Amino acid sequence: MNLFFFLMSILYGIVKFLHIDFVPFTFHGIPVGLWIAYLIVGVVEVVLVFALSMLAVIIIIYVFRKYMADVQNRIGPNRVGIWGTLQLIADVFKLIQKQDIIPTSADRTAYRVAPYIVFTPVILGFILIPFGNVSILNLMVVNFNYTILFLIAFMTIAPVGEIIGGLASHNKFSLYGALRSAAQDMGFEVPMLISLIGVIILAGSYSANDIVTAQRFIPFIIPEILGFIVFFLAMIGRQSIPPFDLPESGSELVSGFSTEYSGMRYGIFYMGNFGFMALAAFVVAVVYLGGWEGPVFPGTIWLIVKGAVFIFIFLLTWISLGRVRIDQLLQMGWKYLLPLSIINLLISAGLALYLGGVF
Amino acid sequence: MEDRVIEINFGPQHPSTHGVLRIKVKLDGEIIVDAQPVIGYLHRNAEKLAEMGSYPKGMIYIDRLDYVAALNMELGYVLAVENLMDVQVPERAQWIRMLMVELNREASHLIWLGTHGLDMGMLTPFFYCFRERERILRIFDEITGSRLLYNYFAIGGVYSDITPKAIEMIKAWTDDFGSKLEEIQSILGKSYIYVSRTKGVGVLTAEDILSYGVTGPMQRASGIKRDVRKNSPYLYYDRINFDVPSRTEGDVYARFLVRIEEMRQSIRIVKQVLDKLPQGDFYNKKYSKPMLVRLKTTGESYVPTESPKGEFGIHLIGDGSSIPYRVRIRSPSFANLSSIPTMLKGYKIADLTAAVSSIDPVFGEVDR
Amino acid sequence: MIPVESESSTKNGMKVVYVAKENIFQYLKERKEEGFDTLLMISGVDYRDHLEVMYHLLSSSSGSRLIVKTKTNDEVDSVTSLWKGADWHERETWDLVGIKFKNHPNLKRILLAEGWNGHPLRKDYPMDKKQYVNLGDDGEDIVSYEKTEGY
Repeated sequence: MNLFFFLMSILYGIVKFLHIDFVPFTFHGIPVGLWIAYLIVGVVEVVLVFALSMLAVIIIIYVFRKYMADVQNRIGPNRVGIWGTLQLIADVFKLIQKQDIIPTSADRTAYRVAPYIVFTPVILGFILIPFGNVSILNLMVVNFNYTILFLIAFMTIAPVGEIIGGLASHNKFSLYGALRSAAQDMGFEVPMLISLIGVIILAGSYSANDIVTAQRFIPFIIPEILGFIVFFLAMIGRQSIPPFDLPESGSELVSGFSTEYSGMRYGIFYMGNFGFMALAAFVVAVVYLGGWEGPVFPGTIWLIVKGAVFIFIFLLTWISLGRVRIDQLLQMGWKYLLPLSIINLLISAGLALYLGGVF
Repeated sequence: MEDRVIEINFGPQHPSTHGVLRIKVKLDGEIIVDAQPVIGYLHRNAEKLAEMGSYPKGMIYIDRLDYVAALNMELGYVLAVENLMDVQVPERAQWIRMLMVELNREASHLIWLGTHGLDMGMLTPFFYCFRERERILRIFDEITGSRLLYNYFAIGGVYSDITPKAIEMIKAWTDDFGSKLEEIQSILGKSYIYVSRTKGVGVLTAEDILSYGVTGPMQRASGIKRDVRKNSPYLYYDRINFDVPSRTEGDVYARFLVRIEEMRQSIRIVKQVLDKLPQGDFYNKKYSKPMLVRLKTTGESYVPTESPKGEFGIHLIGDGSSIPYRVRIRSPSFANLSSIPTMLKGYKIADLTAAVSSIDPVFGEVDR
Repeated sequence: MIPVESESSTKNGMKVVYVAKENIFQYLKERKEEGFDTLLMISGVDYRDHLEVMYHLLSSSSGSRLIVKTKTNDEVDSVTSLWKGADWHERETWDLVGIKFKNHPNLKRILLAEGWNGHPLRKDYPMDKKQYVNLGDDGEDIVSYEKTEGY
């Protein structure tokens, strides 16, 4: 049962309780009332997911700042709100107030659109994540047979925004950031997809829901350890956080593709980055650690715990590692990750052939 | 080929140029075809300013040359002036000077280590280095009353004696700085990413080093084992045991190792100085402050010293009046920086930041 | 063997050698072959009636030092073909003291802006006159005694 039908039935219950009979309402044979009901439920769903993903972003940025400060012998944000919890809100207000600077020689349309291309797919990605299974209720906004494909599609759009932003800025440093973003994409995307095919073979389905249920006995991290390594590294590379933050690379290219951005446009890039971190952590948890499958506690808590573990690993790599060079990165992508993912694909095909019944 | 080359200005406002260096880089893709440094953005003409006042007044301009190792700069000036005027310095003052100079060398190398980590994309070592440097600055604050620009060495001694509290602070610092240094070194040196990015990058051969007049840790990393403290000792460096670290690779990683080892040797020197510190005057009572201003001399003198960046010395020429006729500053960073075109050609953009930060340029000293 | 005009020493016993202007390049070349392989710095001194160029040499193997001086009015031979590091030092000496170097590949100002009037380390440099560096239309520096639009 889907979240949609759940919200539908709640709406139906409210309607029955209030004795308003607008759902069967028709106009010239067209079920207008039903459409209105769909619309209401859809809006509620979108608001829920948006709120959830924004909450995740806010929490991650706060945890990141505090954790990083702790590692580096600093205090971190501690002025706004209790323990500095409202610092991000204050930052957003500050960024919104700032003057919106667009370079005169920039491609204005592309320059304006680019941050949203980075940010929107992240929000869309949250729609497709199965957040849990409460008795008959599936906490998932959209559930159809190809969710994993759509998830990957959304994840691959974000770097396109970086490239557009870098090219539109009309700045040499931005140009180099965009070129590096493109090169990094190529290096990571192919191994990432091939390693994911192994999971799809084992689960026998493209649906995220089915992939989770296939892991009720053994999480895919055990048979697919190679694929997990490849996918996890690709996820770090995708977020462009250190050690793979080449498109931005603060000390070399000033700020890479976002050099010319300021104010809230930069803020959107920033939030998109952290939103992607949350999305990537959840995706890895769903695909390789069995999502909401787990004993005793409700599924949603399991998923959040698993996601949090990955987020902490992301933050730890961010804090403790340096930046790789572009040739080292490409070598890693093409020389090591690609063969590894192909070997993983062969292994999982063999597993599916002989032990298909287990999953 | 020609139209594939992009010309980029790194700096003067760029996060990893350590001040106001501008490098005109010609790039073919990610590969550096040509790199020409442009300097002069922080030029104040300290030489002219120092030639306009009496001998002790020049000190405040010399302080501001290498502002992260101001005491090393002061030492070069003070030694030259004392040599020119045959000023006798009490033994205790000389030992105090050695102590302070070595502490400041540590502070300077810590800044280098932190910013070098930052240039390699690591944020964390920066804060660890500045935490350690803060302790040294507190010691300086206790002894001299300032944290960055001290004006502490006077002609004929130092301005104030070391307090017992300061000695306690230095002892506590020497006891645990070794382990802290180990910790910071392991963050960088044990990281595969760092090592693979610095080995074989920014190589200067021994011939290049001699041709460009490069001195200091960069020279010792390229196989020329020469340290002014060892080869022509000033102060009491001949009475103290320390090693001169050297390596032969001449790349960024070798410079990293040499500097780290130099910091260890500095701890050794500080420990020995504390043991040997004699009692007595901390300045020559013959030279009171009003009298210093009226000092007159003729002749010339050049006393080389080993600053954290390399050989630092001041060539002083006196014409018999109370103001120096010519103050010529030999600044190590200036010569070291001129080796950039050779050091960068053929490497990638990412190596540019690694190589430039391995020079450890300080622009107060380059531009003077 | 190039003849030495006169010899003296600094207060701490460093050898100072005066060489005729015409022979300076040959003399330094001989010293380099002799073992003085490092050129520490080149500096210029304005003695009002003449200018002097100082070369600080160092032998990296033996550690001995030598200061070579030559008297000139405006021009000496460049030693960039002996030491690559001499390039910047000579440019700086031209910039601040105003000594020209013959055969220098790129004798331009290095610390001050191109087009600066006078050489600051000359003793007759007018210290009371301010000069302003203004930004030109193409990003180049324009030096003038008055503030203009690009300042």
